[in-house]
Amino acid sequence: MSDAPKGRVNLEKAAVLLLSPQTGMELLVRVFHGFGVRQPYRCFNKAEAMEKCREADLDIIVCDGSLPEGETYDFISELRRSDIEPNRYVPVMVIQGHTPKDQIQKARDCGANFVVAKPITPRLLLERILWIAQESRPFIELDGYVGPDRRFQNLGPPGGPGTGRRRTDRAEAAAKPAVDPQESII
Amino acid sequence: MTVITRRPENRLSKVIWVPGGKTIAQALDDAQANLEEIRLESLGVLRAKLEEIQALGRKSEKEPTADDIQGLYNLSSEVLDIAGLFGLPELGHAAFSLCELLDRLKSRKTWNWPAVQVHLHGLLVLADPDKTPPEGRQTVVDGLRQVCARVAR
Repeated sequence: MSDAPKGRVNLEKAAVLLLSPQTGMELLVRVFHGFGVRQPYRCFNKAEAMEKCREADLDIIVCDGSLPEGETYDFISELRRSDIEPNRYVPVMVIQGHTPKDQIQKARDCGANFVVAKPITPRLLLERILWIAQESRPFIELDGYVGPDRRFQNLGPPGGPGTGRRRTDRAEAAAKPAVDPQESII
Repeated sequence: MTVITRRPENRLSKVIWVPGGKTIAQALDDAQANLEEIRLESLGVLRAKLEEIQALGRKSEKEPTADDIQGLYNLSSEVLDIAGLFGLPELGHAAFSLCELLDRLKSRKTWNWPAVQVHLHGLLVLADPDKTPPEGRQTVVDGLRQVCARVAR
């Protein structure tokens, strides 16, 4: 993969909701402005985020997992189980620092599309946004889980190695090492 | 058990590929440039957090309160937020290891000052990456992870 990423990205009209504690918000906003997002919605707690979800149609939600008492996961879970259309289906990315042991199950079952582990970089963040934009996983509703189908293989980004129909495509994918979720591909 | 499967449209994909915008390289450069504007300020915050960790750590040598441990955890988590974005990934990994250690100690209702102390020293070393070569920094991170794994298995 070349060091110089190719292709274009247009986030000028993307409706992005950022949910983060005060310390991380400024950093996130600066990164998203750099990506071209004009006015991301800034929310500092679950109540603000739920209110914004009722007001505006969103294209992506990016949450910092470090809100106290697992509030981030409660927000995602509540949104997924809500009747707020179409936002209950909106792609949700969680930026995860350390997850306390008593929050792990909540984090796993909240219904996020993708979790990115800190320390993050703009490159890693944009790569995951592009990945989510190409995602076509079905949305599942069960008694204990509402969110994107978790039964998917981590073979790299959609359209990457192994997704073609030719036998040689699959052979190429098999020859490559498994994708490290923290490894940058753009 | 009822399973409902839906295929909602991916709204992000509708906007992100619209002609216009910027190249991916430009988007990354712009994001980094925006961060560079607050680099000094953020590194100042980072240093202040590290000093707070050290001070709270020294106070916590013997019988720390639950608030002390939570305070250390929160500060370490904040270091993790900032470090990676400003080219200090090893410091971020060390902060993560300290978070993991504190979480394990908290859940086991025990305390291990030497393990915490070695993490505090590790943070100090990694906060100034110019003084340690990359392989040395990685060795420090690996060592902290081993301490964490061994102490609170």
